[in-house]
Amino acid sequence: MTNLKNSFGLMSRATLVLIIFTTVSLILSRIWLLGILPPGGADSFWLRLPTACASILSVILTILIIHKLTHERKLALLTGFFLAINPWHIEQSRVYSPAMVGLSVLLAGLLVTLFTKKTILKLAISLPTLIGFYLVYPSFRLFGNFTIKLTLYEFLHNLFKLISVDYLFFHDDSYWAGGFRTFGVLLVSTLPLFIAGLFYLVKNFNFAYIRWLIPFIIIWVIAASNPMFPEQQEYFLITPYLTLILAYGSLFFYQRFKSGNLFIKTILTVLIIFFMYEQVLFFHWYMIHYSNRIKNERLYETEAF
Amino acid sequence: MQKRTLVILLIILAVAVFLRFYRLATLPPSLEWDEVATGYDANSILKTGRDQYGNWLPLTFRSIDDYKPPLYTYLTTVSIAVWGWNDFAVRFPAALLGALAIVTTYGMTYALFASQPVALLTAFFLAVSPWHVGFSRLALETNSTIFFMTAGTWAFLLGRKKGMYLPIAALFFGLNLFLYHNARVFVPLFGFGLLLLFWKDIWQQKKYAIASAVITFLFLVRLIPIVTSIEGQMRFQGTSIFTPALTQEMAARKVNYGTWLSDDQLANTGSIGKLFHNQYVFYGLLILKNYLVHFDPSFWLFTNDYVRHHVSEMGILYFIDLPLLLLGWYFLLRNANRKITLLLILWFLLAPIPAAVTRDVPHALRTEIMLPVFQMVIAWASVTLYSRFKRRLLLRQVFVGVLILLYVINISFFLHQYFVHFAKDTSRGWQYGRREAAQFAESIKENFDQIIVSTELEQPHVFFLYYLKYDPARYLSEGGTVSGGWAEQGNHFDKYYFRRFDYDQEKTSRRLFIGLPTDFPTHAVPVERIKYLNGQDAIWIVPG
Repeated sequence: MTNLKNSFGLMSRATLVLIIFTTVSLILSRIWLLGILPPGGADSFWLRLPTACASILSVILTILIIHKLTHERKLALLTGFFLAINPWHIEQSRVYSPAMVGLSVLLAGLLVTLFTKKTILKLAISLPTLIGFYLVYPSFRLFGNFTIKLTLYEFLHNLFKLISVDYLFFHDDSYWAGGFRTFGVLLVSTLPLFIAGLFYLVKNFNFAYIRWLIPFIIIWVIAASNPMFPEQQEYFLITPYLTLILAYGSLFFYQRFKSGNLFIKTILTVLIIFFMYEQVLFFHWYMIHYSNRIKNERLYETEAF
Repeated sequence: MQKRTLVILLIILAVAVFLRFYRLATLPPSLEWDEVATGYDANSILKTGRDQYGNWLPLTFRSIDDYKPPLYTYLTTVSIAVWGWNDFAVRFPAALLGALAIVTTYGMTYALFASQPVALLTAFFLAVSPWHVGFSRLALETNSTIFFMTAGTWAFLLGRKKGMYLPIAALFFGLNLFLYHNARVFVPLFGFGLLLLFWKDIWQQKKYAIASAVITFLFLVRLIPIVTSIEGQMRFQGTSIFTPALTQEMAARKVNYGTWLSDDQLANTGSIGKLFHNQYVFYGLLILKNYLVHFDPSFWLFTNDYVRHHVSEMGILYFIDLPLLLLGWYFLLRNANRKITLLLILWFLLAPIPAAVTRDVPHALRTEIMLPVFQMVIAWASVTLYSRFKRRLLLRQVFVGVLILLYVINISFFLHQYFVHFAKDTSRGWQYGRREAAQFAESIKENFDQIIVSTELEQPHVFFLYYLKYDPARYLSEGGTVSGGWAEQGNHFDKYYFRRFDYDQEKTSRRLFIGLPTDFPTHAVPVERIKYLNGQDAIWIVPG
């Protein structure tokens, strides 16, 4: 108890606020009204609960992994925070989503391997992780009949769509039935953070980063090779990468904010206000309009088929 | 300049000239409406001193109601005086300035990086750039703006040390303002950025800086009344996102916004709804998206832009350009001179601003002013990588070999697509068939009292005037153009009348009708079917 008190005492106010924000966001956006938002049936709450729990777990695991890898508490917490308020992550948390559960399994496996020093043990842990991943996410492209039916041109087109501005910030159409479409994978107000994060990573590029890029590239390729493209859920597994970039961007801005002049502080304040505005807009849209759209689509499907 | 460098530059220039002039009059397969209007106005100026509306030496050409800046049309006047009134002459200024832009780009890049390999490679990459080659072969103002931008920037960079170049820079930038609409936004912003970046150097050249300021002032004094006039704003009105004519995507978004407001009223969150779903948010997000999509690799490599703007299965950059572009920015951000990097970033970020408030984005033509930033960054990446392999001879040879091989494959594919397939794939986009229709109608016009041409053929009057080489003085004496707008029904000359028609109601034996196949009932029997190059019917000519 004393240790816990001490560790809270050592925390800066910003860190504490970040932890509180992340926790509150996680509980409110994952559990609150889970059975009725988006509209579902009588037992929706219980059907959705495992995904919601996996979603909370994925945020916690991401924080622990980033902390273990970088030893930077703020970076880890910020990554978790951005994952907790990420529109796509929230949307997937509140429906039955094998991709979300699969993500948690992968992150859990990764975290355990990070605490393991022997290579043989790491490999031994990878196997149950993959089996677990298969069990919770059997529809993952690699587990089915993995054939690429696209031409090279179509495949490249898909690859670039997945990293396009339109897809990332304006129009995520990867999940049509129940997907958002009116929002991107990330909120557009996070674009400055995204650019700053990329800038920081490019400027401080280290060849050790490459091994962490490999899983991203594998998922990216698998998602782009889906014959149903843009309808696919594999790309959801990269959300922790995106929020890590945002976290780097935030730290970059935070340093500028602390040392910047009035002009820079004003610009950053405007960006923060825009970010808060869009976040509230998103929740408003999710609760009122998304819910209505799903109701209408359900009605349409019932009548049409 | 070393003799070897000069020889290499001349070879690059020869490549550029070949790619821009070979089959210039016939590829793209026909002149589209802007080109035809420019060609007719230029000839009209040459013969009468007036445009098709009867305006004396205008500083804004009303053209097809898009109110074009004047410089390109006047350059075409000179070209027609030299080469005669034909398609080659109309496209000649664009091709020539396209080729000359290679030289100015070399000069500008050398002034910036002080490296001959970087400058030569930049010139080469621009010479073979699909974006630049494609638009150098069109009689449009956009491509010529690259020449004036690079020449102006080159002169400005030289002017930091030798002040006498500063007025030349002001002259090039000033002329650019009278060349292309987008340059009127881009050039002042970029010029201001240049001044901010290099104000200490410019301050050393006070005398020339003042002369440049005077030149700039003179251009601006003439420009401001034009851009603030109703005519000057017509182009903006015609292409901007703020006009009532919405694109399909915008219309769908507006419907969404309307639905959301109704939802909010039903949910008793009307006031919050208004805070989120209002026109400021709508247009703010739209402009932001329109701006950002111009930085999408999807746009550069695949482009969902007009078919006219790129060859099939390719965008406006080569695939191999992309990794080099990313590496180039990486090297620039990490190691290069801060001012050089800032100048390139400034150019890169400012260029799409004018296009961001227009419909139909992404738009390769409206953002072509981004060139030659891509080529400079790619050249920088190539040279930096090469220098990193300096101590590893084998690696260096492999790198050069692979790079050359990949570029040969990419360039060959582009040239094949362009010179073999482009005409057939895109003839509809080029409004193909108007020449054939005009010439056929002219050959049988003695049999008819009236030839009625459907306005569904998009500005048909200007196509017929151009292809029939109708005497501008005679046309003006018959009243000239009433309006270029495609809903306009009042244009006519000789036996030709340009309006919508009802074939069944209006047919008589002394009338000939020309229009799209959809302008006629199914029982109409054409005397001539003009086809697009892919074999589909383009235009029907039907006697009454």
